[in-house]
Amino acid sequence: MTHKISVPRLFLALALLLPAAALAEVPASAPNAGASYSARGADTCLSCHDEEAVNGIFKTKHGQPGNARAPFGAGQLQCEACHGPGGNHTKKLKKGEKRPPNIRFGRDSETPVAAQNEMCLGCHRQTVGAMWQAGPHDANDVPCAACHTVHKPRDAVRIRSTQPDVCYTCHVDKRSQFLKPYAHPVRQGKLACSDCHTPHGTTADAQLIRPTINETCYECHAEKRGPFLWEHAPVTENCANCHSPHGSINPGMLKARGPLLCQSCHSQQGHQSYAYGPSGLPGGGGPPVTALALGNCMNCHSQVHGSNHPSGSSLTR
Amino acid sequence: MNKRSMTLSLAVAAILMAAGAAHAETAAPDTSKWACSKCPFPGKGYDSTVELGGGYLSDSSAKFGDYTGLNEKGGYVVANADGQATYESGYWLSYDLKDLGLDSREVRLNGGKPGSYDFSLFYDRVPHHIADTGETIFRGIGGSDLTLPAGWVRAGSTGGMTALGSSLYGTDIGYDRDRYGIGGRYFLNQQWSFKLDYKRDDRSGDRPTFGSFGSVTSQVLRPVGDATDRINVSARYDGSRWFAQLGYYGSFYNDRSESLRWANPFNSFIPAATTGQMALAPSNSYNEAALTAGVHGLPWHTVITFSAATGVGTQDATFLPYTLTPGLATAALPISNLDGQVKVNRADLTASARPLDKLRLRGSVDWDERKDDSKQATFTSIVHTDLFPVGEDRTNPLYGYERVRARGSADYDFLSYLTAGLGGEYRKVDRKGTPQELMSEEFDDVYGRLQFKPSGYLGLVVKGGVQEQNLANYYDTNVAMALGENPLMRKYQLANRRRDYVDFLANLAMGDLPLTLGMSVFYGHDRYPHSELGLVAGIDSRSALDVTWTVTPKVSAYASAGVERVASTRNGSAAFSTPDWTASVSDNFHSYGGGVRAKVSDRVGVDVDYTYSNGASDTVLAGVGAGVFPAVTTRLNSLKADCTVGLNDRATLVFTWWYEKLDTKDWAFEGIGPSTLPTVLGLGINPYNYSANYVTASLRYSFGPPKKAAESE
Repeated sequence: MTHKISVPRLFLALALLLPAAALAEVPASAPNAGASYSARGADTCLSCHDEEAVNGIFKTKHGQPGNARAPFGAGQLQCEACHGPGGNHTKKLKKGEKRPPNIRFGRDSETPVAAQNEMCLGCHRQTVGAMWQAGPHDANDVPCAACHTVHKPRDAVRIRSTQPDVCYTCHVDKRSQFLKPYAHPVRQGKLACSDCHTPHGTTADAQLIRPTINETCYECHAEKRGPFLWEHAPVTENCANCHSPHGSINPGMLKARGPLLCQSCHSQQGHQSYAYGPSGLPGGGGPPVTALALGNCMNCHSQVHGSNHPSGSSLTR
Repeated sequence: MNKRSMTLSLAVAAILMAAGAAHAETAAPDTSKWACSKCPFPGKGYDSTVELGGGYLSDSSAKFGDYTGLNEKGGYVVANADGQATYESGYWLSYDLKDLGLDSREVRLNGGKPGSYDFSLFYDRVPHHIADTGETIFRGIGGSDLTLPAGWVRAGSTGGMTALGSSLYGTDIGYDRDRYGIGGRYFLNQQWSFKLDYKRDDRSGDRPTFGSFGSVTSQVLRPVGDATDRINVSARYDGSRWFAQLGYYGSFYNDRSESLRWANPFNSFIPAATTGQMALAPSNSYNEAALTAGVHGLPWHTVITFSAATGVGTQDATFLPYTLTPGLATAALPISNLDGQVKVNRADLTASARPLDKLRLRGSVDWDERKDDSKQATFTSIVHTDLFPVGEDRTNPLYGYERVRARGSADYDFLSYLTAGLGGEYRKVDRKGTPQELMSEEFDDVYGRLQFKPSGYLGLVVKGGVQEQNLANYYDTNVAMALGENPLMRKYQLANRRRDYVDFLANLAMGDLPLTLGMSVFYGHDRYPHSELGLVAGIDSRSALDVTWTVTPKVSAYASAGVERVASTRNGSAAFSTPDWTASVSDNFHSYGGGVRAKVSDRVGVDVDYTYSNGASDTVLAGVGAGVFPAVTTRLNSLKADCTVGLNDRATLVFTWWYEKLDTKDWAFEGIGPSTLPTVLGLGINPYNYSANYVTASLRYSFGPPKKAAESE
């Protein structure tokens, strides 16, 4: 009895095998894709690239020989683990010939961002890269090296006090927003961007660490979570209905202050609808009104986030 | 095999081979001979830096000390340390001790063995100084029962409180947040890993709030004494091209004071209304289980991720009585506690693919719901601010929603340096539970995007689009009127809204010139076309610029600037009819800054940073009560300079100077003392103004290998 293996099925089997075999290789769009590896690994590279800016990597986890999975672990590809095969890069050049490039990392690199990131994700997909493609950084072609400085002993974006400066490189307007008089303590080094945002990708809006704005706020402000006996409806849906978390000129990081903020929704007959002009301020020419100064509406309605008191239906108790 | 089957097999094979060919084949080298003899491994070693010294602050200010711990004039200890140790086996340990001499001290410890496990521990104290100009008459500050001083004379207004002056005493206002955490990851093997993260926030102190009796109110200090524990545990499996993770998240909030009593300093038309009681935040908890999974390496570089979670929030604090005022007849409470239960469920699916080299597609679908399954009851004896029954039954509302969102985008590389994209989002919100004015709305966002990247040195992105929030059914004015609202009012988060926006981002590195530039511009214009009362328009525009320049290898400089304007217009009706007043608010904020970092010599380094910001909020009322409010202004000048003088390869003297001046004018607080407002007994908190100089001198000593003079951190 003979068994004939059909050509298409054989083709299919080979095709299934191919991706697995190719997993460890550099992306086809990389400048040194298909090149051969160097003869002596890092010893080849360090013959020319011996400056401090390069050698800093040996003080980081990437440069640890004791870690079998790190680029400089036993049997690993050393510099070429990230920069791709360097065989062509070190060859003898003809006169006028430009040196073939390796994979270079950074925003200003000629290496396509997708190729750069694929090299990082090859090892880091498990820990930080699983949701990378779900986030806007991938959608906006941000290379890993735009934020991370792998060759430096201390990666600025992973240090809380210097992390915001790295984020401000692209999110330029946030530097200014955190200078406002009422803001989260980022300027003082007590909060880092990654305390609220996860830059490596998530399906949440604005790459928040929790699935919704409210749940992210409850990480530090769990007293607002409730549920309360008397809920304030916009509070249950979105803290950003009233607050600007990156900073505001108004106390409590409010988008606007009362009574006008409250009067954007409340219009009952009576004090809720009155026009509170500047004459109601002390020294304004008219009788001072309670709804303007100090806590404005919250002078009475102090439980604005909700009340658990049986008599708190007006958020006064 | 028939023709169809053959064709299908060949097609599938071709697709898979194309996926395979996305990576180029290169024979793996024999790395056994790669000695890395030139690699400067530190080997078993450590390096650490310890800094000790002293500092002096010239002036006291709660605002300057807010979060920094520098709130009192006088001397401070400067104590910092950081370091790391590595072992030949790969184990590593690092620590960071910061500001140990201040109330804002921070300790972080990390370590592990890469690929095997890692751990972290931290302690961080966050002082929150709210005010240092507060004055109060109440005794028992810090506790839950605020009483009046002996000899207090009640009056109908603050002007009549004859014992006020002699009863006031100063008190600092604020609270500390102590944050602790421990976490770790363990990699059992290439497939299995486990993660545990525990954090605790412990707060203690006080903060202002208000307690009213009818039309009079007192600004009181409520105790802050609570703790939030959060735990995150997950187990994860990584296949060659897929992963799955099961996780648990728990958050537990415990308030040590669930109520605040305060004595009424005013006369009341109900003489027995001498004590009020408010409910503080009830202790609550939230537990959630989540599953996340993903697969990558599919044909066309397709990555698919999925996550689903279910959680429940609970709260069962025992209710306070309707009132403390004796003589007010009240029925029994219909329920003794809320038995609060909020169920949260969510799921989302995202996919991204690159079917062609030049085409990238992304899409996602999300769904989440909030169901409030708390008890609902009718309260028949609600008492208004401990004075009198409101005279109507009220049922506690239960708010929930179900939200569905679909997003998609396509980006195409028309040229090697030009990418154009289109995208959109559709969202539907259905509200559940207690009827609100709008129970269903739809939200659409359509945008276009252009990315221009002619070289690695220049990248420009401009995105513009239109968002619309539309009512999926009608704005129910019957619900509004049942709440006593003017039927013309449209609550802005429930109203028709159209937003036009444009967002521009540029990043430029000047080729061989050591100059980088970042710039962003955003403009968004909101219109509420069907709102006659309430918010009717809004504008948010902001621009910012950041330039860094490496002048020489030893000198670098940077400059930054930002401008933002947030403006809004809202209509009101004092006559409870058609609009008869309009309020326009415009918040304008500018900031500028710059700095220089210079290595003056091999031993001397100088850093100087200057920041200036100026904000103003203008409010204009037209129509009834017309007038222009005084501007709320805030101006900050901040200069930081430090000089390091290397004594030798290990020891460095560090001198720092931090000058900061904040000037604020705010009509809500300006000149308003405890008795300025007849019906509000205030704390007399002034707007923030300070001028502070903080100088330090310290010695920084390095252990471990000597640092090279040119080494950069």
